[in-house]
Amino acid sequence: MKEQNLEELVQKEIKSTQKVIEQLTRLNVSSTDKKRIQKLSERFLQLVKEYEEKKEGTSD
Amino acid sequence: MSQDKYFTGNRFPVYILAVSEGWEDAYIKDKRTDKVYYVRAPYFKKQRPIEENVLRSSMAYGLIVPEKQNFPSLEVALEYVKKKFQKKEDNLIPFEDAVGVILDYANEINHPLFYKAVENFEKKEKKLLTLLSELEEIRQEGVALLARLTEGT
Repeated sequence: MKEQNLEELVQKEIKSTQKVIEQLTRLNVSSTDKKRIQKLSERFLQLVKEYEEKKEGTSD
Repeated sequence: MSQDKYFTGNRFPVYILAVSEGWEDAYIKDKRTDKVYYVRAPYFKKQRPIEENVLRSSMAYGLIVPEKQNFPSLEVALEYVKKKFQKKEDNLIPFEDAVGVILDYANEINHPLFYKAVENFEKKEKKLLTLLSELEEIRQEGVALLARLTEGT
């Protein structure tokens, strides 16, 4: 698979995952579920952060 | 190195004579005139090896100059070439074409630098695939959670 295609797939996946996380955070749920959603959101944000940092580090 | 490899791209045919260890430099020979030129990647802030820049689909142009030069920027280098030769186009070949030929040549002569370029590409590809799979996992977990939490609403 070409790198450019992979980058596009990653971008698409980030958008799709972000939508799901946003839907989840809008829900009025129990504190246990809130924690689950928060953990999921943190995992997602961490991955995106690492990805963006690496991208910045390889472009001028 | 043998001189039996030449490039017949859309600018001009060249022999690849030598490639530097760091891939930043190469000496090529214009097949038409037998003139030897020095080719280098445009100046990059972090001075990455050429293959990484190629893999990032850089739109930069390679520069063919008659002597080793260090340029502070691509613009300065272009200006230098323009002034030096008066005819800008005749003395430039697309950067990716030049490096592509160097890579082909390195592969042909079994040069370890070719494998380094491939290895670097594979490493990056692997990282992107891992990231993709982790993102998919999070999305699927999220979708399952969403389905459970909105069930019956």
